Amino acid sequence: MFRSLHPDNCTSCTVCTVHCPVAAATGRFRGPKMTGPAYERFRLSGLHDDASVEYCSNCKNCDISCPSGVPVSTFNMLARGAYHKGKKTPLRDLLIGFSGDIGRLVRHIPAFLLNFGMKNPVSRLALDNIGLDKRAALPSFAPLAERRQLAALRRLPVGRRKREVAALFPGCFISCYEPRAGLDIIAVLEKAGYDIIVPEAFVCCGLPLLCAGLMDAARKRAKQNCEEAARLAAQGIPIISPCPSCSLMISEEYQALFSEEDIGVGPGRVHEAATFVLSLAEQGRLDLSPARPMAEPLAYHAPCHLRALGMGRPGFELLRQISGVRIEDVNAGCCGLAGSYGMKKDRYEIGAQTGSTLFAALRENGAELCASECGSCRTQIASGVGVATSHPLSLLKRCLF
Amino acid sequence: MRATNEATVVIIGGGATGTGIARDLAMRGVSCLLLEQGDLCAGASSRFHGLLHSGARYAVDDPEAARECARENAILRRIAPECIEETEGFFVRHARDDPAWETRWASACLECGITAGEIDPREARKLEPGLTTDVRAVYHVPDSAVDGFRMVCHNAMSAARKGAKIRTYMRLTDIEISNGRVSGVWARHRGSDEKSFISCNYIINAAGAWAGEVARLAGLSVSVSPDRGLLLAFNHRFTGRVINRLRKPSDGDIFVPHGTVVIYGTTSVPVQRPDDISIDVDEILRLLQEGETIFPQLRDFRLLRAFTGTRPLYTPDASAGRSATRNFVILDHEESELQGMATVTGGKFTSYRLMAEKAADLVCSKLGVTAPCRTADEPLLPVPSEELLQRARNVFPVEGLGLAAARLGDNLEVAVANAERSPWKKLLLCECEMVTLVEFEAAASQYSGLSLSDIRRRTRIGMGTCQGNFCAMRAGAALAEIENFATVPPRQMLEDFLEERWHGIRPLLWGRQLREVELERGIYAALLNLKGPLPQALPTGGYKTGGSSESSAVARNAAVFVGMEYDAVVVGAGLAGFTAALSAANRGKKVLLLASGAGVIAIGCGSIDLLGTLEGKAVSGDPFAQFDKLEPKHPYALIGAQEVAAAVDFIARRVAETGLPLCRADVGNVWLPTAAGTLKPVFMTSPGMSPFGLYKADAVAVVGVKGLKDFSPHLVAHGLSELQLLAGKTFTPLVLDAPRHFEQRGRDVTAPDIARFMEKPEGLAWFCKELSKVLSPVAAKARALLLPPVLGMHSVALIHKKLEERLGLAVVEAVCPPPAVTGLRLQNALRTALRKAGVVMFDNVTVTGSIVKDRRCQGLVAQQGDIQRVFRAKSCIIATGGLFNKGIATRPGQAVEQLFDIPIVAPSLSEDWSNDRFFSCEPHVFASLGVATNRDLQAVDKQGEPLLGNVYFAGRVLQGYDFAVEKSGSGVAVATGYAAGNKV
Repeated sequence: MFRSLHPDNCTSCTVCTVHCPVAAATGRFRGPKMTGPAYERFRLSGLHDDASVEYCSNCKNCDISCPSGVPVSTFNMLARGAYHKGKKTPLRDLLIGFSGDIGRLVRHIPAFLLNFGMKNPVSRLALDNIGLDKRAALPSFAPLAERRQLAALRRLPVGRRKREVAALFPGCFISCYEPRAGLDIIAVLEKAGYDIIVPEAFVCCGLPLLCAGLMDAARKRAKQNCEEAARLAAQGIPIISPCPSCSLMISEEYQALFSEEDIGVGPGRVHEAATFVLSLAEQGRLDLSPARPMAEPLAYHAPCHLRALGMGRPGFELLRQISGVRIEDVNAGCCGLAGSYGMKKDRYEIGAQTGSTLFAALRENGAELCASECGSCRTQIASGVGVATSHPLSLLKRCLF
Repeated sequence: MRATNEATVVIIGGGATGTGIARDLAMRGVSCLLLEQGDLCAGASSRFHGLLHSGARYAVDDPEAARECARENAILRRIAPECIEETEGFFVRHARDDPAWETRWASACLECGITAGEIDPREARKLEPGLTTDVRAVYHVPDSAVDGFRMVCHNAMSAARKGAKIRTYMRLTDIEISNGRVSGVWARHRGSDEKSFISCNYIINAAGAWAGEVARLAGLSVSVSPDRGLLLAFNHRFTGRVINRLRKPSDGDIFVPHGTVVIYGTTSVPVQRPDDISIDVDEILRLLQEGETIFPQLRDFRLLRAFTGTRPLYTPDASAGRSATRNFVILDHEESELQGMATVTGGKFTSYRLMAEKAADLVCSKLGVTAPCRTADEPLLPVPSEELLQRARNVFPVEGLGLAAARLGDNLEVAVANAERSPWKKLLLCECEMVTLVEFEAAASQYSGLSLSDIRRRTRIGMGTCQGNFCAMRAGAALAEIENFATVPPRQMLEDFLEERWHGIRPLLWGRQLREVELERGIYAALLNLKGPLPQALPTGGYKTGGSSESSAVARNAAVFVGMEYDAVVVGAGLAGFTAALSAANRGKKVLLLASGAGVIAIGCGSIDLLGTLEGKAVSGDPFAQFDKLEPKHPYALIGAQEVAAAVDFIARRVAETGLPLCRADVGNVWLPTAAGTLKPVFMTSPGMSPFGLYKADAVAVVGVKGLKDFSPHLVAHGLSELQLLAGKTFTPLVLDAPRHFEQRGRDVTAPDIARFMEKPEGLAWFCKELSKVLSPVAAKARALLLPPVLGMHSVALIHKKLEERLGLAVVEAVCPPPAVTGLRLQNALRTALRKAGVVMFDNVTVTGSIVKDRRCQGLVAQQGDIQRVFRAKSCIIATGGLFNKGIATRPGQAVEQLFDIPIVAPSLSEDWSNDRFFSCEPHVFASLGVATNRDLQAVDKQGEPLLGNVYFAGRVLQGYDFAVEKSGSGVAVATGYAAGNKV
């Protein structure tokens, strides 16, 4: 199939350059226009050695700001894949890229062991040595029981198929570190009349692999997820993900990155959970009157990938419709972690610098609890500002039950 | 008259043949001088598709030419590898093409010794996926792409190295003949108009399509028929191989990949004059239709430009067009009783070396020179030493080294040494084609200084995606910094350069190319006001106080809405959309704003212009006083001056509440200094840009930063000191060293980089320290400082105040082209205002259509992946922008509003959409195309009846004004946005 992704929509206008948080933080990055569409013209003539593409954090603010509809970050990720082809991947990037698989491998190991193993000073030093900055916040594995509880929802108990069924694509972050949030979301969806399954066949969406330049491994994940998605689609089961990045990767990026031979007709839409719940509320299927008041003021941070989905700020909209909830959208740009970008030793400063605007805005806001749909944003905010964080739907559950 | 020159042989014509002859003769030790009327390679040698023929194209009709091509092709690959891309070529037969021709062609290739191996069409499509599935047969041949400019320049360099003299911009005016023998030539320099005489024993006329005219000067008649061919350049390399159509040679047969672009052509039209390089839009459309059969996506690819060249066809028998021979001839005019002159003409680029060899052989036989031709053996360029390459690797980015080395040829060492001396000059002057400043300077220092196009041919500046939008000003600036280089003022050079680019862009005014043109007008006409009229006198007075940052009375998120229905959906995140949303929200409406991209506020100048030019004259004083002169369909006339005034007040208040004051002068319009050394009219601006300090100062220091390529203090000082309006003032350019930590970067310094640094205490300290280092005694007398916009991103007012106090000078930020800071500040302020007003904003939603029932819009449709979303509201405000932001879609001779498919009245001939000159005082027709509305901003039909009851249009999607000529873009956006917001 002819790759119809070409750089012709770009006018070189530099709107993406002035909106790029990485370019704002470091001069080492050539900027999205240069590494993306401008260099694409050279890549088509056989030049592939631009190391600057390594600096792109894939946050997608270029795509969001582009007045010409150029998929700038997709160019960057494809270029990174090509740049890495045939090169040896560093251990750190393998660890990050395959973190989903690793999480699956250790699914029967208790959290305290994992967290001690990962976070004790010796390990952090060792990780630091391979390029995972020792200052970076790492998420903690959730208690074994919770992880098991979420994973156990592989299929519905026999005889319970009386209501509409939806499938949850929890994403690696929720599966490993915050299964509680996954269970909260399931509770909200059940309240709206759904029975939820968490299909075992779903694997990591492949985004961390893509960002590590491991294109082949990402393609393999995409293929498997698409097969499962097709199976669910045949039964009319919608797929919902609490993670905006997984939703974006599966719903939109797969088709841009991989050919039809790889992924068939594509996975269709994976609904971002807050968007899905908001539309249920719109349809009157979910009553938003609170069962108990939410006394504390909330801050809200919109993850970049959520904004890229073009669905507005559904988590924010939901919460601010609940009477008594006081919530402010701090609207201060990228958190800087961008998945695992800001954990890397040579990127830590960039991530911290990028996040500083958001941190300052959150401190000024003063709320003790910050809602955000993205797990990696939550990790960064918790460590950078020291406030508690939560998925908006977890907070919704707290209000409604 | 200049001193007399002398040479044994004078060569007329600086194309491939002429420079080839110069090289050949010089290598044989014959003293020669080449005269070229323009720049090297300005004729057909650069105006062709750049195909190095394998010979296969001529195999059937002209086996002799085919064999010749095959031999020369092999030689050129050997002697000039840096000018040739070994792409190989395909001959593809479409299902519609005659299979019998294929058979004839294949056997003819075999006979000529041209390897043409057949490959499976499916395999071919794997290699070139853009090819149509209707391909029935594919052969690969050793075609290549050749860079005509480079080949000619490298020939000239090689010739010069061997002692030949190359003189460009010398137009031959007369040929001296005594006793039936040539004795010399007269030529006039096109820049200085000086005439000079060159005595010689022999003249070779290698003037290509001009050969007939040159022969006439000697009283001879040579029948050369200029034959015009059209070529199209595409923005990206959609084929990696040369693609030839396998059929009887015809129009539109050949696609050639060249570096970053693809050239497609050509046609064959006999013309009267050799300099007829006019371009016919119909011919372009026919060519595209032809090309589409081979590359079905062709129309979806962006055209960069169209160009034509005139082939010199030798037509003694009155044949013409495709029937005329493509072979070359050498006419020894001794046969016409004139001793000492020969004409070489006809032929094709691939065989230029052979033509040169044969011509040189003839001359040598006349002169009794016996040295043999060595041009087929010795490479054009000596191989650069490993040591030089190593140094070059440290200077050029790894991936750019090959490009730069091939383009620079002999100049590589000069450029490398320059970059070693001044590392900041490694900056990319042209980002689309990766041309560094050192490369530019190397090319500039050695050539005529008459036209930027000369440097373009040697470096490729301005030949990529943006067609000069970003590099033209930098190029002008670079010229301003080279002392005594330019014989023409740099600003005029850059204007001429843009006009030259316009010639090839103008025939393509639709779709993507028209978007690029809108951006170009936004930058050069609206933002930098090049060639715009200026007032008689500078405004006096100062800024009105008040309207500045009074604290907000609006509580955070005061508006909290329940329920999902919106009162209004605003489509568009530009100034019009933002103002509309604010104005509706201000009236208590629940507003949803849909953004597809960030609009262009961020790359604008952050000021509000209202009306800067009217009827070719500058509007000085109060622009409102001029509104009664506007056409009735002008948006201001539609909504009325009162509403416009209210809108301006409203937006100033909303923006000021966020901490960014927008001020207006007592007198009305003010003229702000720009990075191009011009003055630009605005109505409201932030205090840091207030020009009054500059107006009052006699001496002004213009301060730039090393490596900040979009603000050259030299260009600014040069330009401003030439303005009558600023007569008596002195402008001294100063350049600061960039902050230390800016070194060792992968990217050039931008104004936002410095502005962010200036937010920090060490930023201000850096600035003051560096400034004190460069303040010479002359500059120390300055009463005002003119800077690029770098005084912070958020705390501008504070930094500005601090700096003025510390220096005791007026500090003025200039208007800069993107990526600048001033627009970003305004955008941030507006977004904060929206959030405070409770407007719900969805990023990254591209509305693609609408649901209309009973003349009302029921919903706006956005396609996201495979789902459709419908946004419903009581009213819609359409602020989707114009040609650039795709509110209006265009095709050749057609324009239509995008969301409701409202047809827009436009001339049906694309030629009638624009004026001859890019910087024309008259508005371009395309610039005023837009939706016709009534006073309520509802779209109307021809009878003036509203088409949609609940839809209002605002901003550039409206008809009736030219933002770039009028300098009214942000004013119309604010005014109509405000008015539309008041309707819902």
